[in-house]
Parts: sequence; structure tokens; C-alpha cells
Amino acid sequence: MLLIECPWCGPRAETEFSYGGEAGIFRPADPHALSDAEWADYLFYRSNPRGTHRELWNHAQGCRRWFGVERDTVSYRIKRTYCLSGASGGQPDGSAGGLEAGSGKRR
Amino acid sequence: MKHYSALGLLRNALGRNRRWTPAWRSAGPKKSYDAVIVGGGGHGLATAYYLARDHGLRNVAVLEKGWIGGGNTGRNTCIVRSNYLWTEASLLYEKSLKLWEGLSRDLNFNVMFSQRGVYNLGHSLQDLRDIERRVNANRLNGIDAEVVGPAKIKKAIPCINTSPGARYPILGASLQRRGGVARHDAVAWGFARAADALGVDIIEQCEVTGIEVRAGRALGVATTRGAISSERIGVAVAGNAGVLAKMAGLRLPVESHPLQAFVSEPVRPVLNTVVMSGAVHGYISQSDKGELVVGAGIDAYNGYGQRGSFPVIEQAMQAVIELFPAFSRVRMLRLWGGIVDICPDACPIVSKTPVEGLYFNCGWGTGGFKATPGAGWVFAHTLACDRPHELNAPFSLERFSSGALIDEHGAAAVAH
Amino acid sequence: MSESAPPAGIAIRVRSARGFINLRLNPRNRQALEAAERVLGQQAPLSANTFTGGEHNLYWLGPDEWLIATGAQRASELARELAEALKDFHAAVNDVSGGNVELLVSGANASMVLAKGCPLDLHPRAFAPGQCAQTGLGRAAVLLAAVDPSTYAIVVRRSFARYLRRWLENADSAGVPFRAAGKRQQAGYRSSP
Ligand SMILES: Cc1cc2nc3c(=O)[nH]c(=O)nc-3n(C[C@H](O)[C@H](O)[C@H](O)COP(=O)(O)OP(=O)(O)OC[C@H]3O[C@@H](n4cnc5c(N)ncnc54)[C@H](O)[C@@H]3O)c2cc1C
Ligand SMILES: [Zn+2]
Repeated sequence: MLLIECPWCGPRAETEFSYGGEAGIFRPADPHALSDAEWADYLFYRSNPRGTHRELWNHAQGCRRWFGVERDTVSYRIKRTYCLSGASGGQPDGSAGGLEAGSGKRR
Repeated sequence: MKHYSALGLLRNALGRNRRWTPAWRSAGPKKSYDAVIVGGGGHGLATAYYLARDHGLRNVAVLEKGWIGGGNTGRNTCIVRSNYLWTEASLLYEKSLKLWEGLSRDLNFNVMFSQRGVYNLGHSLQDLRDIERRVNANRLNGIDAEVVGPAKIKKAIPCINTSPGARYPILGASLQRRGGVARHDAVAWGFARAADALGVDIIEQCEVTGIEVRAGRALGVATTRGAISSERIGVAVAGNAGVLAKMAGLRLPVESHPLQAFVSEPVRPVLNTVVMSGAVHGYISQSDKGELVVGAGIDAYNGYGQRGSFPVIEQAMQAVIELFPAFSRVRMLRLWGGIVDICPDACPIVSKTPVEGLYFNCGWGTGGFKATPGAGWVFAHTLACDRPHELNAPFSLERFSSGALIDEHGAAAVAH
Repeated sequence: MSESAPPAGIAIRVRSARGFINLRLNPRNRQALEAAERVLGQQAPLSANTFTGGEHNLYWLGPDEWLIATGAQRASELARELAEALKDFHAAVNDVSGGNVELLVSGANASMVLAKGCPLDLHPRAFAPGQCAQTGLGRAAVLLAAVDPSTYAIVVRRSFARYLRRWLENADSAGVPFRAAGKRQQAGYRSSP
């Protein structure tokens, strides 16, 4: 059982979370400008590393925030968890973020 | 190769079993081969066997980092069937099933292929519609398939819970009578022995650590037992496909996830067929030793550790008990995990790559054991002829950019 | 068996006539927060996984989300007042009274019964009165709040309420004869002969 540290709620059991795949995959701003291969890369190709993986998790049964996790895919050890920039409500440490600060990023 | 026979068995028994010889040579690597297969699982060994038998390529090595069959081949729940929905998939798996039917004779090795039938249960109206659709599609492709109702299911499997009050009532099932199970280790050993007899070097404890590519051509591999040159390299390493691809500067649309299975303590014969359910997400059969063999779902997250998470174990157990309440008293004896290579469309990749002379067989995910002979057969063709056989042509890497995906998620619905 | 006292049992009670409002706004927008608090007549908890009492119970659900539990009569009116006060802000007010049920579980062994199906550490050191958490209990997603050392409030989806109640009753009866507090307790252990 993974014990995952939600940046808001602290360490919680794996069963409270849902997995969101590799982090840092952004929808291309102009899909029509891409070649088929580039579009396929965005849709289907992931780095799938043996080692450190940056991935998204959602505290689905808790505060329902998405956040980032750095996890080793062999030992399953979690190296760190972090807030995504532009998270609503600011960061747990009280630093910037939130609708005003991140409104551009939140679309 | 010493031919195995009933007479030979008797003779060896009388000789107190002292005269058995190893089933295959323990070969050391040569400097170069006409073809190198990376991965000594069922797929790699079958590829080498068919390369030697059907394509006359006998200067072939299979490189295995551990021991043969120690990967998913030795970790799966052994279900064999061909009742997939889409024509491309069902023809490939049916080719494999046909090979299974003659495999023990072909290999002169008892792979214990037992066609005890496979039931895919339906628990909702939509499930039943999907089942009927799939059964019809199978029949159009010449594959045996039938729809059975709860009464027939209950008659065939007395200990299953078909009460309408169940949380997931069993409303019907598809049945493929030619489906069943085979003995996983025997498949690896049988292919190894037969390939060895045709001259293939099976080299265990030999990890591939690099792939030499120059000017877009594969030239050889670096291994823990030295460099080996070969201009034809076939990779069949299941969950490690991405790692090998990276060695050649390639990316693959696969992600590696843990998948678990369990066996119970041996019990008396109670289940003489294979039962799978996508809704409760479990699949179960009984081994010849009497153990209940249970398969779970994959862990949602990526992983290369050959173990899975506890919530998934719990889920699989709940699935089994939902279907077979009596099994709640059975104790589980062992559990383990394998790393499965999941493709976005849940179909394999058996394909050439942008690197000339380098071929990949991967993406079988949770369901490639049943494909072992068929995958080896088409992969051998692909390596020998430098182009896919028509059966595996649809399973190329290009499908991800052309959009011609083969979406088998619906049909399989459950890891298998 | 002899060393342990018979189960003390827990009391499970549905809190009737409760209404619930889901409130979302970004607390970094002070004006919006204050507008809401003016209507509520109390402060919204800003530290994660805590709740405040008063006329209403305000539970922290997320950094920009709260659940307001109040009297059923008051809820729809309060929701209207909040919506009115927040109409110029980026905020959302939803009356979710119909979808939720509040259970009160009390008794000296309440935390142990809950622990049978809840992954949280319910030791008072880790989950003290005033704290709340959204988590899993049995197979249900719940909002769990420590009211006092022997009482927990559980807000659960109405469709899961009957199941959860049965689960709690079963957890209470099928389990261990609880040992005196302080000794290690293995939750979920069955001692049936
Ligand atoms: C729990 C579980 C249950 C399953 N149940 C079923 C089922 O019921 N039916 C079904 O059809 N399928 C099932 N599968 C899937 C099936 O097991 C696989 O698809 C299939 O066995 C893959 O065979 P393979 O030969 O490609 O891979 P493997 O048997 O995994 O062989 C790959 C080999 O490559 C080796 N290797 C890796 N990296 C290197 C390297 N760098 N150098 C050299 N060698 C390397 C590994 O050691 C391994 O032996 C299941 C899988 C699991 C894990
Ligand atoms: Zn959280």
C-alpha cells in the first residue's frame, strides 16, 4: 500500500487517490500545426521510465486536488509530492497561487 | 534431441531416472549471430523456434537476463482463448489457438494445453449485448463461440452464485469451448528444448545493456556477457520494452504496470473450466494440482517492481467471493506480480521500427500468454522477411500515427 | 476471552432534519470570503481538514471548498442568502441537502469500530476533536469529523447511508471484544470460536 502525502491533507492511503499518469504533458496549443507523428507523440507516447517518474495524482476521496508526485517506479518510494502551479486556493504553505495569481494558467 | 515418449518414460523409470539429459544445452554466447532475440520468455523462445523451423535461420541466439520463463511467461494465469471482438485481433489470436492445438506434438513436449472452455460472464443488459455482438463477430471469423444463459452456467459450474439477488447477478456468458489453460513453464521449456534441437543458442544470465545503432541500422547488442553482433535483432521483453527501446533511441507507446495473480492451497476438484468477469474484475480456474488460480487487475500506476499493491489483492478476492461465495473459506497460498506492457488500444505491437534490422514484439499487456505460439510465429516471419505477415501487419507501430487503432478494451474488459 | 471486557457497543444515530450547502470560493479573495462569513455569522476554517461549529458546522473540504451543515429548514434560505452575497464573485453555492445524510457514531470504542474500515489514523493524537477528513469508510466515501473524544459525525451520500449504517452495525457486532484503552488493538480481528 502506498502512503501518499497529499500537499493539503498529509499522508493518506493509496485507496483515497486516483492516478493521472505522467505529469507535464500539455495539450499542444495548435493541434493542426502538428504532424501525425507529433500528434501521436502527444496522445500515446509516454516516457515510462524505469526509475524516477513525475506523475499526477488526484486526492479523489479527499480534498479532490490534483498534485504532482515524484516516485521511483522500481522501489515505489515516493521522493516528494508537490502542488501544481496555479492551484486554486493558494498553496498549503500560504504562498502564492490561486485564482488571481494563476488565473491565466487555469484557462 | 532425445525424443520423449511413453516408452522412454518407462525405460527411464526403470533406470531410476538417472539417465535423463538436460532438455537444452547451456550455450555460451558466440561473437555473432544471424539473428538475436532479446528476452527468453515464451514469445522470444517461440520466435527463435519458428525462425529455425520455418525460415531456416538456425544461427540464432535467445538472450535472457534471468532464467527462461522467469518473466510474465512464468507468472500468468494461463488463460488461452481467441474470442476477441475485432477481426484483426481475433485472427491473430485464432492463429495462436490453432498452434496451441498441435503444440505438444510439434514440440514433443507436453504443454498441458487443456481445452476446458472459457466463460466470460455478463452482469448487465449492456454486458449481454456486448457478449452477443462478440459471439456473432467470432462466428463470422470462424471462431467457435456461443451465448449461454444462467441455467446452463449453473449446470456447468455448480458452485457459482447465479442467484438474481447477487450484487452483480450473472445474466449470461460467452463460452468458447476451445479455450482453456496451458502449463506456463512447460511452454517455455518446450519451446526452449525444440529451438535448441534446431541449433538455437539459449543463453541465460545474459542481460542486454545496449543496442548498437549506426546510421539507422542495428548492428548488435551489448550484454553482461560481452558484445554480440547481429544485423537482425528481435526484442520480446514484455514490461521492459520501453527500457530496450530507449537503448536504441526509440520511444514506444507502452507503459509498464504491475499485474498480480494468486494461488490458493490445493483443494479437491471444484472448477473444471475458466471463469472471467469484467464487472467484478477477476478470473479464476483450478490447476491440476488443485490450486485455485486467480488473476487480478493491474495497478493503475506505472511500475517495474514485480509486485503489486494490496488494494488490488482485496479487490480480486472480493470478485472471486462475489462469484463463488464458498471460496471465502479457501486460504491463499502465494501471490506475485509481473510487469505488463500496456498499449493505449490494448493491442500488441509486432512490428518493424524506424531502426533497420530492429523489431519489437511488445504491448501484449495482460493477455499475451495465449498468443505465445502465434506471436512467435508472426514475429519470426517479420524478422526473417523484414516485413510483417498479413496477420500482424495491422499491429504495427504506425497505427498510432495513422489512427488505425484496434480498440480491444471493450472485448477483453478484464485482464487475462 | 476472559481478559477482555464484552464489547461496549457504539450508538449509531441519524441526525435528522439536516441541510447541507456546498460552498466554493477562493479564500485568497478576502472580499468574497468575508462576504460569505458575514452571511454565515462565523468564520470558515482555513486550515486543512478542520471544522468550526456555531450556528452551522463548517467543514473544510478543500482549499477552496467547504461543506456547511445546518438545520434542514435553514439550508435553502441560507443558500439563497449566500448566493446573493457572492453574486459578484467567482464563487459557487449549491444546496446539496437532498444528497447527504449525517450519522452520529458515539461510544468509547467508536474510533476502533471505525478503524476497521477506515485508512485514517484515528488516534486522538492524529485525529483530535475539531478535525475532519474526507476518506473511505467500508466501501463508501465519507466526510468524517471528530466531534468529541467518543463521538464522530459522518456525512455520507444518501444512497450509501443504509449500507454504511449496516456496515457500522456489523463492524460493531462481528468484531473483537475490545480491550481496555491503552493496549494495542488489532482492528478487524475476528475472535469467533
Ligand atoms: C499476473 C499475470 C497474469 C496474466 N494472465 C494471463 C492470462 O491468463 N492469459 C494470457 O494470455 N496472458 C496473461 N498474462 C500476460 C502474459 O503473461 C504475457 O503477455 C506474456 O507471457 C508475455 O510473454 P513474453 O515472452 O513476451 O514476456 P516475458 O515472459 O516477460 O519474457 C520477457 C523476458 O525478457 C527478459 N528481459 C527483460 N529485459 C531484458 C534484458 N535487458 N536483456 C535480456 N532479457 C531481458 C525478462 O527477464 C523476461 O524473461 C498475464 C500476465 C501477468 C503478469
Ligand atoms: Zn488532500
